[in-house]
Amino acid sequence: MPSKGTIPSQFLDEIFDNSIICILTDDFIITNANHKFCSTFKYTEEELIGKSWLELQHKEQIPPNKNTDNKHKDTWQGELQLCQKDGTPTWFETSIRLSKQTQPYHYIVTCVEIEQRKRLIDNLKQRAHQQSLIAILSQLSLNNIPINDLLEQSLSVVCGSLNIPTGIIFKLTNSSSKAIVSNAYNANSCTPQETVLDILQDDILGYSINSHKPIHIDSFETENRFSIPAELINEKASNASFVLIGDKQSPFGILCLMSDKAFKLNVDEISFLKTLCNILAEAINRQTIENALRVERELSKKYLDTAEVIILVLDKNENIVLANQYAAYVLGSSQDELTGVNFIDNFIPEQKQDSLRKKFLKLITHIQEKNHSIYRKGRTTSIINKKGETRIIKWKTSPLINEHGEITSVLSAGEDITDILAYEEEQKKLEKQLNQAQKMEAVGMLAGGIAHDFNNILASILGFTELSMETLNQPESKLHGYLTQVHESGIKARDIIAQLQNINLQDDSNTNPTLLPSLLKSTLKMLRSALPSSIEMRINIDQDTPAVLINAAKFNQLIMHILINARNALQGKGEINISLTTESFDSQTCTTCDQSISTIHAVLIIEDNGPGIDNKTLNDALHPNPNAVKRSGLFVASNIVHDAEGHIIVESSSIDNQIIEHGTRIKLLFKIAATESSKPIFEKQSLDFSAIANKHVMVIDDENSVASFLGELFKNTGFTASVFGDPTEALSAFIKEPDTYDLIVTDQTMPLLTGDVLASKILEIRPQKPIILCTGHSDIIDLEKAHELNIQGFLKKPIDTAELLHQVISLLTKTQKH
Amino acid sequence: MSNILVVDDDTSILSFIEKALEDEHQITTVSSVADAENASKNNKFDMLIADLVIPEKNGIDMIMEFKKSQPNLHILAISGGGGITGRFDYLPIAELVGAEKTLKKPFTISDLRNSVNTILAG
Repeated sequence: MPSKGTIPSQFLDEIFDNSIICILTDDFIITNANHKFCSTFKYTEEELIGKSWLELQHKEQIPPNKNTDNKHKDTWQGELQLCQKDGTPTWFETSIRLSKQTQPYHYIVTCVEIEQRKRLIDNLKQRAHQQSLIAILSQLSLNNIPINDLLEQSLSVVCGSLNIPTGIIFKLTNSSSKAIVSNAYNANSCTPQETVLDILQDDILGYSINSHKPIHIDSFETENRFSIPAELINEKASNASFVLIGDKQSPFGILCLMSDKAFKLNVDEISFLKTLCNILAEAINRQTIENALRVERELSKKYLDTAEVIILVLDKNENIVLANQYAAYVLGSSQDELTGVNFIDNFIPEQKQDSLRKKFLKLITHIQEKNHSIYRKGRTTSIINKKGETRIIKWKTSPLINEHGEITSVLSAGEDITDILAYEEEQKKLEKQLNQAQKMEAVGMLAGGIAHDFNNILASILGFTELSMETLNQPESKLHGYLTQVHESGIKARDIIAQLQNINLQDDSNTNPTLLPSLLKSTLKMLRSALPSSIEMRINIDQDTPAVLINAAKFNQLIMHILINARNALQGKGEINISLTTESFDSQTCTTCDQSISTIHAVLIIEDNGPGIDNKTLNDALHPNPNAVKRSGLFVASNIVHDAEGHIIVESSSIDNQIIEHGTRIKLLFKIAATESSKPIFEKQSLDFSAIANKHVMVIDDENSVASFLGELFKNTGFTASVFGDPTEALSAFIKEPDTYDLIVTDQTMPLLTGDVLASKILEIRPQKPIILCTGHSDIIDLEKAHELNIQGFLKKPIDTAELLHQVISLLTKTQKH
Repeated sequence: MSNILVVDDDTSILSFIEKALEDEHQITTVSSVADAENASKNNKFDMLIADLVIPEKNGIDMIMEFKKSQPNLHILAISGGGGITGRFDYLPIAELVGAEKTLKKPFTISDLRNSVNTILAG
């Protein structure tokens, strides 16, 4: 047993033999090396002696330099990588100690191999590093950064961390037939978003997708399993690893790492890559799903907002929880303002709140055994929105139920049917009006026929009465007196018939001097029945009112509109005063056209004692939006008066109660006809021939007999006529001198050019040119079609001469007026 | 004394016109266009008084035909106005096709006599 304090020499020998020891000169030349040292570095002792220590050190190591490190220190200690004879580096914990026991000094070097430990630690370090990288990338991927940024980051991290010079991420097309370079790190020729590779089954990319395992190619040159795309070879790399991003069923892309130097990924590194690729795949999946969800959500919101359906969710307290854009629009508010507002209090008319509240309570408290989810059908309620408008809404409601089966709120989908109802109402009204108009037309035709026959009868009655008086030749006799009575009654009858015909002649363009007193009287008689008896009508007509220039039919229409307005204003009860007189004006202003009036006019005053009309309503009525379909009666009336060169003055208690105390007074001013022509219509029989004097009519018909007959007709009646049998000739004649011809009469069915086409061509040159189109029964063109083409005249064959001449005269008269 | 042909489908009117004018003129009355054409073949008339609405043919055409064959024939058109359908007044058109004067029914004896005499004097 060795004694305490000393180490027996055999122990020292054993220690020496098991340690790696050598001795260096102060120039770091090996002078001695023990057996263990030699065997560790695989040198013989002879080879080592005289060798510089620095040669053993791995070239990238920073050597302990005697000049810097050891001048002032006796000992250097640290980790060194030292190479064996074949160059294999190994890590040693090395201690270089200066021994001053010899002169010159020597260094004693002792080494302990730490390769295993070192590798373990490095490994652990690298894994920790990779784990932290993965953690960071996972975090990034969760932060919804754009996929491309994530890929870019990941690629540089991978290349940096694995110390690989070049990396590329390929994105696969849907069918996995092409790989697009999505990201590139240090690549030479592959450009992101530009370089596209075709994927073949037997190339490395195709194999990567199908195998779903990382693949390493040691050398592009010797590789014989797969073909390698030229683009990758161009990268000047010699070996590469490929990892699939995503799973086999839905691959997203391929990560490719390349180097010109040989590299081999260890298990840890491959697992790192796989993890990373999984993270990327998940991130991509998640974002794809999120995108789809977002699109879906936005679409739903859009549906909700664009659908013309009111969507409201009310909580148990009737407060609005959710309102879509359309709901906000109909309720006259914004979506934000609506939230939390009590719906029943704010939007339901007061008198209906209680009943609706009861219904709501029933809906929200009663657990119904079944059909929770089924919409309750169409209940119509009216609401008053924030703008004060009343809207009629048809609701469907459904309770919303939470996971415990409790009703938490009510979903109401509403359709605003206000306009539909109004439209239907309007439609009904129009139908009624149309019916009425058709009836009136029929009555008018009948009246015209009756008037004609009645005039024949009256002609004999009056004629024979006169003959009787003449034959009797006793002006003082009783019989003469009786006959005079018969004659006078006959004259009255004649006047009534004249009125009837006057109303019935519907030629609007014909504005003859009209005596208003008798016309007004008969019109009012007719319209009295349209007013309830609770409205009193007072009439005061000045019989001496001179004739005015207005068409009788238009006059009737005018009176009708004004009276209907008055009736509506009175709401069933009140007075309407109507008076006809002549009045001299002194710079008063027309309510519609603002023109100053300062002459004598025949004036018809219609006055009611209703609530009056306010300025805005009046203005809207007289100057409607040009696009509005519906025109006010007042607007129509004003137009009629102005067409007859008259004016309208509206006075109302609501505008200026200085002038009028109650209601509305409408003054219709009519231009008085010149005295020489102020004979009533039934006495006027001659035409205004100035409109047709010297007019030139173009006649076109391919049938010679018809053409020449028409030509003859026009010549005989004082026109100049040019007759054409060939429509193309007619057209070229017209094109040559379009202003020569005042009116065109053409047949429809002709070879080469039909009448309607000819007419269109003529109207292209002179849009207002009057044309009369004559069609046979079999022709497809009808009056409506002709009007669409802007053809003003239309006649059915065989031509009725009187009708033709009538149309010619009215068209020419109209043209002259314009 | 002039020779006057009166055409009207209403016989009482024919009779009234005949009575009103017979003292001064030679009157022939017919109630159809065909009869009027026949009558004019056998007689030379100075004047035609024509109703414008006659069932078989409209008076306008009749006036035009008479005017064509006898350009110097005086013509007076008479009508209840408005036509059967009430669409428009035939009288102005009669004037256009050659009637020198028109009379709307009912008319007085003096209207009739004055018109006839004015036309004949013209």
